Amino acid sequence: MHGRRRSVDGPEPVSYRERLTRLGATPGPRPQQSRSLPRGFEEVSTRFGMAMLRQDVIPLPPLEPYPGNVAYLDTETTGLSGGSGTYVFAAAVARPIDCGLRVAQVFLPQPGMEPAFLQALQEEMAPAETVATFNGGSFDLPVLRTRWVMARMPGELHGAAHVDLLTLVRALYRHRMESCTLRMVEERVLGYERDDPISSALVPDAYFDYLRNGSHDFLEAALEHNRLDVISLVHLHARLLLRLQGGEAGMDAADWLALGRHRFRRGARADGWRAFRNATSFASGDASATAGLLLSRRLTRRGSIAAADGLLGWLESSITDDMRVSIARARLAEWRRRDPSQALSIVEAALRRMPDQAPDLEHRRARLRRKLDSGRSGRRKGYLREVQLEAPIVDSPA
Amino acid sequence: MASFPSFHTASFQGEITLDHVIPEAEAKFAALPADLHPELVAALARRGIERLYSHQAEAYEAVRKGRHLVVVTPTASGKTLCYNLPVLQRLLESPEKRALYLYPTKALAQDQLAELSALKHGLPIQLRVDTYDGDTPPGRRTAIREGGHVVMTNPDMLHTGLLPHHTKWRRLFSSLEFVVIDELHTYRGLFGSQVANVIRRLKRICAFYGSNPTFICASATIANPLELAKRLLEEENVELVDRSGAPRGERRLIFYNPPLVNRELGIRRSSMLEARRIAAPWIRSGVQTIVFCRSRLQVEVMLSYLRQDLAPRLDANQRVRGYRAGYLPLHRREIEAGLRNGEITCVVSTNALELGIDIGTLQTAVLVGYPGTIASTWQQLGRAGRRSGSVGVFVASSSPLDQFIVRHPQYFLSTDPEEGLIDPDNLLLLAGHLQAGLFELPFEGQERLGRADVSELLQLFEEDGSATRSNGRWFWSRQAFPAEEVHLRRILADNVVIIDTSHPRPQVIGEMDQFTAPVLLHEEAVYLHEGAQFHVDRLDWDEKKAYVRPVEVDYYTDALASVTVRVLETFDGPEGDEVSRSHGELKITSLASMFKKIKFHTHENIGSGPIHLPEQTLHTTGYWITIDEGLWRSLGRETLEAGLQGMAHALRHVASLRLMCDPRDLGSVAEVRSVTTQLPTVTVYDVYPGGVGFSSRMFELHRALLDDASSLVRDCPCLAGCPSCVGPLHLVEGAKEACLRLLAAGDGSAARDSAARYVSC
Repeated sequence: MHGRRRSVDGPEPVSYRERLTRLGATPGPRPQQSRSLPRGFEEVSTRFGMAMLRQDVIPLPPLEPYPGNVAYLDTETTGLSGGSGTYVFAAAVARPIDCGLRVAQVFLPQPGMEPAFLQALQEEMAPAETVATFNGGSFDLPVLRTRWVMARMPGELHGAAHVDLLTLVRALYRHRMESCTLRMVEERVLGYERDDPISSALVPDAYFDYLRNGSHDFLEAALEHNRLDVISLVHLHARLLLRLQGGEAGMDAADWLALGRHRFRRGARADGWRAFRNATSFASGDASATAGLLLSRRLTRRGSIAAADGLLGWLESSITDDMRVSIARARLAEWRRRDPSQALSIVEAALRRMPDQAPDLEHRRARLRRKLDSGRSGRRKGYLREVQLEAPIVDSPA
Repeated sequence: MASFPSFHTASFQGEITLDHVIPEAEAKFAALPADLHPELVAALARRGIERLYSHQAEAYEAVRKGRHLVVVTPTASGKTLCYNLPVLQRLLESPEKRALYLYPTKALAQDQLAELSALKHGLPIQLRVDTYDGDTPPGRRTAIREGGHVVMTNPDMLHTGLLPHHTKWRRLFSSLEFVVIDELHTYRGLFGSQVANVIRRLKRICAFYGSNPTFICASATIANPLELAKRLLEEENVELVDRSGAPRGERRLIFYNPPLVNRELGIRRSSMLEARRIAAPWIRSGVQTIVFCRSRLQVEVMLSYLRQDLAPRLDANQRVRGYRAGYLPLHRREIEAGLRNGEITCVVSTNALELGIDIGTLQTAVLVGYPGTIASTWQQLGRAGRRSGSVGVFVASSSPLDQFIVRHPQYFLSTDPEEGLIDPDNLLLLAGHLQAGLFELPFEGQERLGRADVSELLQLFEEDGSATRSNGRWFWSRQAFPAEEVHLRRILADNVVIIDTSHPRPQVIGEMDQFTAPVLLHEEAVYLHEGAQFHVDRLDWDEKKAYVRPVEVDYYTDALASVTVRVLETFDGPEGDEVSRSHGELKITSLASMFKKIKFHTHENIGSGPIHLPEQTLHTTGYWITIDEGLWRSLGRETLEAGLQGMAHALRHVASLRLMCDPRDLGSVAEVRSVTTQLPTVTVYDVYPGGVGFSSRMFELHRALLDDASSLVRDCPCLAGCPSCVGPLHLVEGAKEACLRLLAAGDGSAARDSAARYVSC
């Protein structure tokens, strides 16, 4: 009984269609429509068959700073869940060339043509030494890796280095944004609001609608969305590079602080130091104080106690309402300079300036007083270690 | 003869209906296989193993010959070595190979992880053995995917975690040499049918990566292990190893029927109290004992009884422990360990310990009430008995089914345990797994899912947009993740959390499923947990939280629930004149309405109260039969009701055979006047939310079901109806006759003739 349900006794075999219909599962047959390619796509031949490619060169002044030989990549998929049933149906690759920006898009007109799609994509990326994506580390690249396995293709993406711009954005701009979506980044970092033809959530359905009904409108919009995304990546990267060099105008203390932390994490100490110093030199606000505290901690760690003390003293005189600075300075005096009476006077001065912080400082003051009293009563009398002789703070802030 | 722990029949007033000694079986040994790796020989020697039991050697040989295998031997006969040995040998020969172990529960996988880890210790290669389930920390997952030689998981995780993400598991699937399926007998009915489809998908993935694993199954004693394995694996080349070489001590098996206390009502002395009298002396003298109860409530009551009996000893609470599903995993692990090292003398359990969790050797087992199937009765009795001189006692309750078994011990001893039956081709299951399979890999034009022809289903999927055909292959084309839409066990998800508020920081002490909670955790209930009593102060149904505090009172609570069936939509029917058939969508409601307070020991009712909780609702599909007025007017209400009950009971059982599912996958209700049909109605329904498509099948099989039910009732040797034909609860005079008359009306000749014969004699 081909395609029929087994039937133990008499009744007529019932077709799956009928049975599922009874269970309320299926609509009627759908007429198959012919699908034409989206606008601008042409067939190109690969060794795995035909792939669909759309190419375009956007005139653009040379990128400054020059990002190197980078391919910017953005993919559109049939879902966000991952897994082997999530396909990549469109990929946009942007590469800076002499006369501007070359933007190529590969499109998968039907799932069965995936090997050619992947081959075309690979060829498009081949000349680049670096791949740049937005969240590609956790999404685009793993999904593509799965596609390569599924298509039983050799290679995957060649061994290009990967730069995830989302990671950089999170490091350098998170303090400016509620969330780090590409849309938000465009608005806050690149300063333009995109008139997006389709929202990301609808992209998979746009493709399925094309597969089922051959309808184009939403698909064209999804492909345009893909193209705009990858162009944004180019601009975003340029902007990120500029900031990484510290060459961006109008950076505030929080920006410098974020940059400094990022540079230190990457092991670029001199750059990190410079960024923290710049943040500190604003001499107002939390970020500035935080940067100053980080600098003083580093000075202390390398033994430049006097320099750290000088920096904190200066910071305390310019940012008078940050308790962290006073406490850091008091601790330095107490534990590094072994001078509890100085620590006490720092705490008392802070208490006068910030009476509303009293509960936090009060405890410290009481403890310092007890310590001084017991010190006077004899035990460690006269003990005051000589401080290092060292020049005060190296860079006096502007 | 071995010396058994004393059981003095004279001291019990009830009737011993069976006192049977199962003779001892000597161990049959076989030498270690000649090709066994010397390091493995050494590892076995370190564990004290110098030779194998004959079945272990047979299993090893079969697997080495490349055959699929099913091993069926009793509890505690060294089944795990049957698969661990050939797997380790192969891994020693070529360490790039991989094995996947499937256990029905996470707890079992944990247990076996410890076992295998101990065995592999000291082998010359670094073998990585891991469990992989919902509890595996994300940080370890990548390492397991890449480097795990043996991955132990459960079918649910394979279904939603491994198969849909198979490209991440490429390393495992491309070198997969063995798939071990332990506790094969649990894969029957709905769960088995689902898992059979998961295995179909697993084989597709293996084929994609070019591997062709050998399946090794291990099962408790069931009637048809080979047939079940062949059906589950869809393989013909399966070898059966079922002659156990493990020694078995002499065992004494006793059926005990407590004395009648009310001859008119047939009420006997409480099986709980009798079981307590049997078990307590053993526990006092340090004999390790397991007591199986039928419900969680009974477990808790029995715990408090036995602890009282041990009371002068300060460690009574430590020596007597409970074990059931509501306990948290860590707690359960601790109890299992305590049993193994002897710190615990007695464990009181539900059927949770029926599965192969290693608790070592107990000497006595007491079964309070019949566990429901012959197979699980043997499993539970098997918990005691590795060494000589063990005793298993079955204490019957007053329920008709228990009475039937206890009065017919020969029936029990001679009947094969039940068969494990599955139907992987159930359309709705097949459709769900086909979608999941399609997500995992595209289907070739004529490809099947296992043995099932799915081309017509694929066309249907194309029409509803789930599939797209391209270059002669079918591709998944929806955004959804289909494996998550298929739940292998269909257990209601939202559990009620039980919170003890007596501590400064409230503690979670357990959880309970939504369907049971209204009965055990209603406000004012005395909830028993590990023998301690807790009063339920507040049940926040919306938040699914029960707030309890410990109390000490001399009563427990018992709630009553009523069940109603409503037809939401009729798909087909009614068809037929006197007896009509229909099937469709149903709403089944269960309402806990009141509870009683029952005093310990005397079991007298000392109070009651209402329960104000929402009805629990089950949306499912069902098949129902209505009886025309002309047929029942002459019967009288009581006889009619008894007849309907009998019909419902018989139909449910024969339907489960025909549908190749477990009787527990179906429910039945008899109503003298149904709210929907306004007629006497018998409904047989699918007990899983949403239904799994059994009802339309029953509708198709209507005639055959009536025939089967007639023969079941007719051929039963009883005179006026008994638990095994018209059901356990309704021994009303004339029930059997009424049932046969109703069944006969729906069908022609056979039943009518026999009914006439029956009535005339």
